[in-house]
Amino acid sequence: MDGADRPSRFDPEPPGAGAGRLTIIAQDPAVVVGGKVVRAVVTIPPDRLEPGPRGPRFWVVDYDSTARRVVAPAPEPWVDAIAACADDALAADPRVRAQNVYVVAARTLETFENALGRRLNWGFAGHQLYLVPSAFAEANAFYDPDSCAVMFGYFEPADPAGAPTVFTSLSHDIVAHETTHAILDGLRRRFEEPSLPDQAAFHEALADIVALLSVFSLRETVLALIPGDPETGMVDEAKVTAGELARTALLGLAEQFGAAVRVHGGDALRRSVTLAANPELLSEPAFQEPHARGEVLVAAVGNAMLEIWTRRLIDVHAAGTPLHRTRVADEGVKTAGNVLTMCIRAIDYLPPVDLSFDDFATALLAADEEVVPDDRHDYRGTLETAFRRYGIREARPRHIETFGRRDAPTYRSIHEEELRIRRDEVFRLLWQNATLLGIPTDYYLSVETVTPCARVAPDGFVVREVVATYIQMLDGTAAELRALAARLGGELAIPDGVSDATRLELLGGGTVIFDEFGRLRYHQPKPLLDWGRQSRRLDYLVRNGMRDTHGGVGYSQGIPLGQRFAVMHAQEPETGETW
Amino acid sequence: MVSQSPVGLDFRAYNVGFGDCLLLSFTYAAAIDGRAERHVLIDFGSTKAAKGGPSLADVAALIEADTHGKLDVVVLTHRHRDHLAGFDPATGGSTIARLAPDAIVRPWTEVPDGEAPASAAPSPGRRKLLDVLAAGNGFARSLTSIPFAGRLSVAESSLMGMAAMQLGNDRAIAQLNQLAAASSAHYLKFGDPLVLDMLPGVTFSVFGPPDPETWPAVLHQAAQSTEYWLGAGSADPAALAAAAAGTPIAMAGDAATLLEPGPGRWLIDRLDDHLVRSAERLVHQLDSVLNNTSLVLLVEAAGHKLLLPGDAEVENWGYALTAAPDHADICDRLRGVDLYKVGHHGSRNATPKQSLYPLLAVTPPDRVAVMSTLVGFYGTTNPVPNQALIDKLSLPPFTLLRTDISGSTTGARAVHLAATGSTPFALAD
Repeated sequence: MDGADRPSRFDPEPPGAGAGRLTIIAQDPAVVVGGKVVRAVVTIPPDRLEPGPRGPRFWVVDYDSTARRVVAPAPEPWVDAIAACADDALAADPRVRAQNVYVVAARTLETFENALGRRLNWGFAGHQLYLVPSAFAEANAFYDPDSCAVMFGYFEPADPAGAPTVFTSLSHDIVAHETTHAILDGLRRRFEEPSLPDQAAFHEALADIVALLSVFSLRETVLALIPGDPETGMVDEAKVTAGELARTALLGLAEQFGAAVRVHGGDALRRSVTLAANPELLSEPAFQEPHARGEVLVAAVGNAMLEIWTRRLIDVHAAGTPLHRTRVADEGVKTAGNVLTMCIRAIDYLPPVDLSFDDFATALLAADEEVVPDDRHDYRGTLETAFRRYGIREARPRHIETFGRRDAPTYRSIHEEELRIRRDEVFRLLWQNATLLGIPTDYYLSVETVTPCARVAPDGFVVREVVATYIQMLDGTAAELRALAARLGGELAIPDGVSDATRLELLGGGTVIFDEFGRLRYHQPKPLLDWGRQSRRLDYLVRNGMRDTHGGVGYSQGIPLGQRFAVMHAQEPETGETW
Repeated sequence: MVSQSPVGLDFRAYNVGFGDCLLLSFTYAAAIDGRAERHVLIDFGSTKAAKGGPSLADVAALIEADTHGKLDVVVLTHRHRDHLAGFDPATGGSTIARLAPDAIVRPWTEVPDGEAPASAAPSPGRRKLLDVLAAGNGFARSLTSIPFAGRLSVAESSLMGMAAMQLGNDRAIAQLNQLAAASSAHYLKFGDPLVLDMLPGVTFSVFGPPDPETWPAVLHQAAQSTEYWLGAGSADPAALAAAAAGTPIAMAGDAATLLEPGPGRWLIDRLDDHLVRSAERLVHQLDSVLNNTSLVLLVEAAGHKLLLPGDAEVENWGYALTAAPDHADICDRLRGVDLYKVGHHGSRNATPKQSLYPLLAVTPPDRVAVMSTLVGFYGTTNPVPNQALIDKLSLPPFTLLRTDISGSTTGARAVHLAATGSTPFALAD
């Protein structure tokens, strides 16, 4: 294939398990091809495993709180339990669940670490994320940072009678989705702070994007699920259009779960790519709820991916002739791998608070340009167009020119080595350049993270950067903050129902990127004193009843323990009809 | 006789604490069948009495006095305890029976088992809602029977409070069924006619609950949660009970190390805590499902219009206000309402902000908003009553009267308003 293309992280997977290789259920037990549940053999990170499985980053604890029953840890987790298990026994064997959650979660983390070029921390103090493969009898799964755990529920489908128990831990998509919540929480802790709907929606969208696109890392699975005739190995041209591919199991999320709860008449739980493009979608009431809103971003990314995939197919075959299915699969694997990497790399460029979809579009394009200046398959252009068609507009970050300008940053008394590792040195740099960066130093300012990272560009060179995030906070009563805004020439709109004495917390901050010489390259700010954004945020929080337990606005979500990510089901949408 | 119309109206909202108990009385210029008055009781329940306020038995005695011993119609908007507990013979039910109402009006979901003719088997949408209600009731019942040991955690007491609220009160319902069997029984949904001959000159319009077959949005919560209730037995009350009782955890294989003190055990204990949280979330959803079975009635008499929506939430209102073929006409008629019983004790989503509130905020006429509520009892993240709604209803054209703080004294027995054909509603007594 085109050797000059971006190197894909997804190498073809030869069948057959060997050392360090285990089987997973490729989608879920409802996705059957040729009468068999689709499985995939994958390489697992070469870590020492203990019974559980338990490794350096994950710890499977099989406790069922509904049945009050704990299952002994799988004694030899390196023995492939799924390969040895018949299809109809998958749901009954606890070793299958334990292995499936462990391997899918470990691969999801690996995908992130590979794309970002470094090890990642969890959003909690510990090193191991608990995975609970049959946590309770409920059609639900969620990440709970307070318990350092992802919990996977199970349930008996209402229909048909006698259908096997649905374990969410057997769904690749659900495990990848929930693991992504945990990973993103570690990367951007403050995305859990109360904010405008885009931020919670982004958590859902990224989790869905990772779940959808990481399936493409399983080449044999992709090959099994694309249309065409496995006997001849050919597929009709008409079957590999973007519209046709969008309807395959590859682009649906949580097929078995969706069929069992019948949200969309027996299809996958979500099939966001079929959402018709419309730039006004994000302002419609139905798209204010985080899952629904997240689907808009998933649709934009998914459709861009389909477009690039099918375009690459057009490039390699004569019109009107059938295609080789292996070629279709290979192009899909490559495209999905690249798009997924782009999405994950964007995270470092995101602001630490009050994220919007526009910020994500900006970050994705800026981060990719840095590593892959030569975009010969027009990934960036295609994504940019797709974003715009769904009403997501790029808002360019502030690119800091380093010479030839009078307002170039100053590096006086800054040590480049210190800048790479120490928050205080980054603070010093922000302080020296506060005016240039537009950071108001009268208010609480703290550098929260300093992360050196390295990415390998397609040309083989290593791109080194340092990503630092800072936040600003301001709290006071509604009356005080309104007066402050007025004194500074702005206007903070206090929503109806918020008394003058109500305590409010405003958040701001930004992300700064230093290049390999320690020079400022990018600044992605969310200014603390952006009164328009602050007013919109307060209005949204109050309308959605997001107050803390003392009635304050902006401090915490007021949602109890572990239930923040709890709903696979849509929550009550914000209809504008509530007080 | 039929040509007679009321010349005066009295509206009482008894101070039952967190609940509704409304008495609507009509006065006629001349006696009809020996009485110049007629009385309609709308709901009679409470989950938490007001401090210093009357008990349900006290309220029953007040009703008996205020009706002079005869009740004509009983309306139950929906089956939540805070709307029906007073019909239990152990509280006020015997008194109500003595007042011998001639008609019992309830939503379509309340047809007693075995009374619906076989030919009228519910449509799939209705069947689904009924199944959810039944399963949810069983769920709430199991929850409330859990013998939590010692002092309840905040989550546990919140869960138990909400479950108790939903628990169908069997004795109250049996009492209502008995009264219905002895009188004329009406089971209504949106658009059904309600003609009550014993109330000449009074017209009723039924604006809710919509039929789930034509307005699936009313199933919104139920559609989301039906698998919880019907298939999963999730947040199983038996599991909660077992955890509360400290039942030993069963082991499959040698899992003893996970149960010894250590990180595994720490996680297991946290998972047990989650059971309570999950149950609470599910119970909260069921609460909305039940609220949305509320009858929404517009009562018109002597030139006045009273809007009595029970605890209907947005999903119930949505059909009448935005989707029904005659919704424009309905909205027009609501602009003339001069007494609004504030929905759901003043919660944030029972007086739809965009579709209902603006209709009620137009002038003329001046409006009385009556809120039967109790502060600090219901809801932590979204406390009831909602302050923003209270603020809006405190501005013209509204005069807000609350059962908990109206008048100068707390613990008052009722908010009592009177109007005639030529005078607006004003405080009486």
